[in-house]
Amino acid sequence: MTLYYVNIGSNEYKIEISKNISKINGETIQAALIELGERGLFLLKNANIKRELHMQSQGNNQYVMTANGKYVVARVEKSNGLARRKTNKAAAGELRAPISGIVVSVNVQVGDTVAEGDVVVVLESMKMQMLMRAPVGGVIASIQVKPGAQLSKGDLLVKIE
Amino acid sequence: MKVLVANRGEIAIRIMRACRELGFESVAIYSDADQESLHTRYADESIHIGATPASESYLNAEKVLQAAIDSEADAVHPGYGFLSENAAFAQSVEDAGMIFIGPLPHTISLTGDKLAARRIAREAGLPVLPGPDEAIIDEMPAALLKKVTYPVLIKAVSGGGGRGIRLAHNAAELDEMVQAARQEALASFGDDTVYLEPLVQQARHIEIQIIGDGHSRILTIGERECSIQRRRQKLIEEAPAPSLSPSMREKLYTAARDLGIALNYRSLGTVEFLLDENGAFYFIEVNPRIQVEHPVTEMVTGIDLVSAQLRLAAGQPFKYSQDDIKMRGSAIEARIIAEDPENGFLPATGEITYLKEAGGPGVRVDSALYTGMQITSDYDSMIAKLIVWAEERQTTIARLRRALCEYQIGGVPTDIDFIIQIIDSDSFVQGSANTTYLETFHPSVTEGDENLEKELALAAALLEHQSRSTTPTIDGNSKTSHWQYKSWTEQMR
Repeated sequence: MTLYYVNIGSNEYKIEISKNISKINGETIQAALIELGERGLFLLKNANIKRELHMQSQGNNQYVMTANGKYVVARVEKSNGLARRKTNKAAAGELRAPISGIVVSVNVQVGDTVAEGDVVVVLESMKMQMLMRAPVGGVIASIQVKPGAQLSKGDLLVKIE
Repeated sequence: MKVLVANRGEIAIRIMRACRELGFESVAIYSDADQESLHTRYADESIHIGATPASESYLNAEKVLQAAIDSEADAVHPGYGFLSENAAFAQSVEDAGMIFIGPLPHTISLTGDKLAARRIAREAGLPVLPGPDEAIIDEMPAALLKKVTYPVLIKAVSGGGGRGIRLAHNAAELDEMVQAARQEALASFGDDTVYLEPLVQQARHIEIQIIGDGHSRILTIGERECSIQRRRQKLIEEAPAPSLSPSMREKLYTAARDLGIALNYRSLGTVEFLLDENGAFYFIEVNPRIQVEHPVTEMVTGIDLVSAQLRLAAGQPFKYSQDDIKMRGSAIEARIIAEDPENGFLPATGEITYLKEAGGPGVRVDSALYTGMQITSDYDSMIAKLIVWAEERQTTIARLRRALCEYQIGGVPTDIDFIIQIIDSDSFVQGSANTTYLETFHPSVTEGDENLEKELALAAALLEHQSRSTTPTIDGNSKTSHWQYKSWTEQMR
């Protein structure tokens, strides 16, 4: 028997997998996963129910899944008896790009004092402009971007101390 | 006739399909990012016009015009967005001896200047929202500041498509929102002039489709309701508008026709109105082009709007009179948008790894998606449209739900699940939602969702388990399929 913890959104599922039998949160299910000819396409067969789903690994035990109008990201962790690691929360004073796009303007300079909620950077992505506000009040410690810069999701914009 | 389609994505294909049916040749244009895009494969010819940023390709009037000249096109269809509302571009197309498939350049200038459009609508007898028709070019005039009543909308004079609009609830917010509207307006339209308009509370957005022959003959082709909006972007549109009384419908048609006559309108256009809770209606703007949501009108009237537009541009008279235009049944469109519900519904990017489009009776998919396509942040995040028709509205909703569940897009998150939750909600089912509905909308989790999520969790665990047991060296980053591992392990025996 192998124990996995699967996180989807804010829900966590405890899943035990043995040779022919699985348990979800303690409930027994006799299900099999069948890979279809098309890459990433699977059938989850559960008694008389066949569910078609698409699953794609994103690395780090993370799977992107599509089924019946739903799109979910599932994080799978194998339990090894140790305490499970918690995902790192972003440092409070770091403002990061929530999406890939272009920097329209940087409204602050290093050393400026900002209040929480002040507009620090303006981003544009898919024709939409987004006002990036200071997550905390403080002094601008560093600025990592310039107007016109191309950004990827998660890139650091500004550090506030 | 040879038509250069000055656009990309689903609308480019939509227009080329109409061209093909009419026996017209079509020419695609494309940027670096669109080398392999479906519209370039569909067209009879494709011309590369520049780098990926729209400003260097689809928004670059000189390059698009040159492509039209080089391909010896007879006409240019601008689609929606990009250069579709650029009067100077329309003029340059006509000056080069080609047909611009749209209104006269002069009409585009008038409708593009929202203050001018308000003036013309008022003169044509349409109800226009009260408000100071005063352009704010630099500083907010002190006299104007005193007159403002809140909440107030700040709108770009050259705006359109819901961009360059901000809402200020009070005087304290006004300055920041004016700046934000200006900045977006400048980036989107090259003009940061804004004006103020009172906010209509509990408003419904209803628009009338018109077509004109440029010789004072205007037909109205039904209405569409587009009240389901988010961040001022339409999300779900339908025809006919639910719970619109026959007398109000007639009033709106008459108003739209009057404005069309006042503009001596040529080609397709949409006259947009807001209806308030007291049954009053107000003109907002004219969109001088094909609309994203035109398919719902096509579904209920049986009229192919793009073909009608193309035939008119080719000099053929209308095939039908006003009495021939009738709406039958109910149609709803859902805009499929690449966005991440786990990341505040911000636009999402990535590769389409799997695609299975919806089908069956009454279902139309207008899409330019393909497996392997890269969704980038360079262009609009609307990646497809799903339109359904049925005999009456409740059946249409059930059909839309069915089709949305069938529509499988892998690799990039979309709004499909969110739309299902909206169309399942009571206000939508009753047809009573207004333009602020989504601001307070909270989807409810159903039992079916919970069961599906459980199954997905199990499937993920099973896949992880299989990959671990097939070979201990496999890691999540491996691109190799399970089957390749199987054949590899078999060889090792």
